[in-house]
Amino acid sequence: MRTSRRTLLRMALGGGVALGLGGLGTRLARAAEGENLLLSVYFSGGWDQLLTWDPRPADEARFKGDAPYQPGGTGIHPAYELVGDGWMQDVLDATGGSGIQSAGGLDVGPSVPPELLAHAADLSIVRGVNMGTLTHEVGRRFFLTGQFPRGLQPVGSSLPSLLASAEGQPSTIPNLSIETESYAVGLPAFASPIQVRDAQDVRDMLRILGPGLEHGSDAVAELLARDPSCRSLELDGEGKVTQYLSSRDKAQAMVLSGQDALFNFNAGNPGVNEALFDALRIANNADLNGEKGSAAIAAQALTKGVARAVSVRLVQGIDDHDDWASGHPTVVRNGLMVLGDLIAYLKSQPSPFGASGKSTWDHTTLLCFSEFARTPLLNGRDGRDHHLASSCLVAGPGIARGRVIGGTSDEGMGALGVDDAGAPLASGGTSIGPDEVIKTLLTSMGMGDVSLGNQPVAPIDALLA
Amino acid sequence: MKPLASRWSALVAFAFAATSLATSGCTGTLDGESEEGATGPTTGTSSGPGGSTGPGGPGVGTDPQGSTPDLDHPPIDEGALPQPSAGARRLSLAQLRASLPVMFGMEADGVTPITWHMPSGSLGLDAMAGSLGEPDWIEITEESLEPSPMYAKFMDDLARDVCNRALLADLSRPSPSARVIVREVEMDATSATDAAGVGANLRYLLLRLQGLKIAADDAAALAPYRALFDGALADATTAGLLGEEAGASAWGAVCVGLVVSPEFHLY
Repeated sequence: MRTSRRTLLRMALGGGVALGLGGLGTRLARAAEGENLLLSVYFSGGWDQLLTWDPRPADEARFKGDAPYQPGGTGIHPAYELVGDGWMQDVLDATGGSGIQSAGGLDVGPSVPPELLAHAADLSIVRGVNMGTLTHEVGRRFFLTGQFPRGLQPVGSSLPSLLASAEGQPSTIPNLSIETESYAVGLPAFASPIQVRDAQDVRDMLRILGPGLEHGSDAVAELLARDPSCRSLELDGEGKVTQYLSSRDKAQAMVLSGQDALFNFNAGNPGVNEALFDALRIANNADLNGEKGSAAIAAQALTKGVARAVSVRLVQGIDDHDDWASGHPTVVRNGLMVLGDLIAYLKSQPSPFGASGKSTWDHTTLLCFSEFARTPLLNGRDGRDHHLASSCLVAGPGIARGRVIGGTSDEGMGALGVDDAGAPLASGGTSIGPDEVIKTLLTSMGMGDVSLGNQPVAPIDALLA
Repeated sequence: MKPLASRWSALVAFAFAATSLATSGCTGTLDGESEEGATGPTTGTSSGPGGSTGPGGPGVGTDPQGSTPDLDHPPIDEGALPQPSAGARRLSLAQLRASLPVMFGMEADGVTPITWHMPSGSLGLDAMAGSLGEPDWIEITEESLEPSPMYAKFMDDLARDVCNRALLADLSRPSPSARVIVREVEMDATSATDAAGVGANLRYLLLRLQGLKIAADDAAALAPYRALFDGALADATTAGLLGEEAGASAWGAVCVGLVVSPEFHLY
């Protein structure tokens, strides 16, 4: 043990990095037992449910024109016809004007592109998710952790952090967070999110930056291993020193992994990444700076075994309080197109856990969410404001496929309670919030014993496979 | 069976051992704290007055018919208690930005404050601010001060860069008093040629970079750091470096070793 650690340190230091002091992280880690992967996809800004997961037929009189705005009206105006983009007209033509597409047992709105519809049979939708907030940060953090924030402050750990913690640290970056928030409270340091903005950030995490330490690496390693100062004891009352030393272990392992080359993305010279770039339709380096680039990082991290849990923000800038029709539908659609391409790529790649005949997708649990929905009526600026009843998209080896759980009312799209089978009820029933969704996903990955705060939260049994 | 106090002490000792730091064998006198106090608890032996012997051994009386103890717990040996924690915090990026030029001085040009530069030339603490969790006041409004793997990784890169810059600057300054890293000794000094000078410079660096005071006569406390210097110097010499070049390389290793230690980043 000591020999190998010193060898590792010598390699690191000789290569020009002084990370070291192994052991603590290993002691804190739980043995890797599962073969779970997690992909958490975030649409930043609040998405429109009528366009996606909870549509209404735009050709019905009660949802058309001024009718929804009248007293006694439905209060729901899909307004698909206001979207001028050609793809919307194609969908309306194909659906007889309703705008509702059906695939794999799911009925979805017109912004769901064919690339994602192709996987509908593998996905499930949870509708009528009561977010309990109309504040961006609160909704986002509620869905990230499954625990309602205190004010704006997140409570608890993000789902990816929980998975990374439970799976141990066999991967280089157990918890990779691409342009998203992520939290780890009371978890081992290796489960802390590594937050990156682009592929260059990932490379920088996985390689030595700057000049190396040419001489004395062994001596530095010896000093670090001896931990000669009593100050570290003095400072460790709350475990900060232990956490720092464990973090240095993990950082050392990352640098020594040699996996930085996997993220050397260059659209002009894709090299070994050609199949990845083709799958995600990455044609130039501008693509790499957007949602396609983020998806490429996620795909590479999951398929190559670099990360167990990946959080990625695929869409931003959809907080459309003004002129909703000119941007929101297409931006959401583009994000879902990338998601569809990403799923297809995960299906095409072998499992990172070895030759089993399974694909990476077969191990992947998916959560796609936003912080809340948008109002079902257009406001005076032809925009849509924040709305409580949202939806999310889920999938995974432990999740039922092609199923719709919950729903919203036909008057104002209020969140409805559900029965034991997950069917919406006109009144009563069990309400669904992000905490129930997170609990369900934890349960599906064999982590049902993880507590979300001090209140009991039950999984949605009807959503479990 | 152990006395209650002994069992309590054992519990404290166990908790300490769980941090994996109690076995580090820390030595020396640090900031006026006694070495005994800093090395953690020792097994206590006293039992409480009025204690009765029961299945758990001597301790606080539980027999309702027995004598009433005059204390609700055995006396605590203050010397056996763990070192009081300061509720440690990690340096923020703002603190690092402000501190690096103070700790490492100016570049060789004498006017440019030393701070962390990326290989591209950009300022590391600014380029990595987002990744290191500094608020952008748009989406992130609170800085994460967790000593995360990402922080540890980039602080390692930082350590090598700023120490390298500081040593290059020192090499350009013939007078030790004008230097920042090798101030108390000649650049080509070794433990064989100037043991006192090397020791003085190690104590100076420990105070400058970690805030640790080591008495001039406390050779034991200084020994691990002297071993670092001697080992690094031997490496450099073996690699063919001589004189000031070898000395600068060794002091660079000392600098890196001190900067990547938790004592540098936590306070």
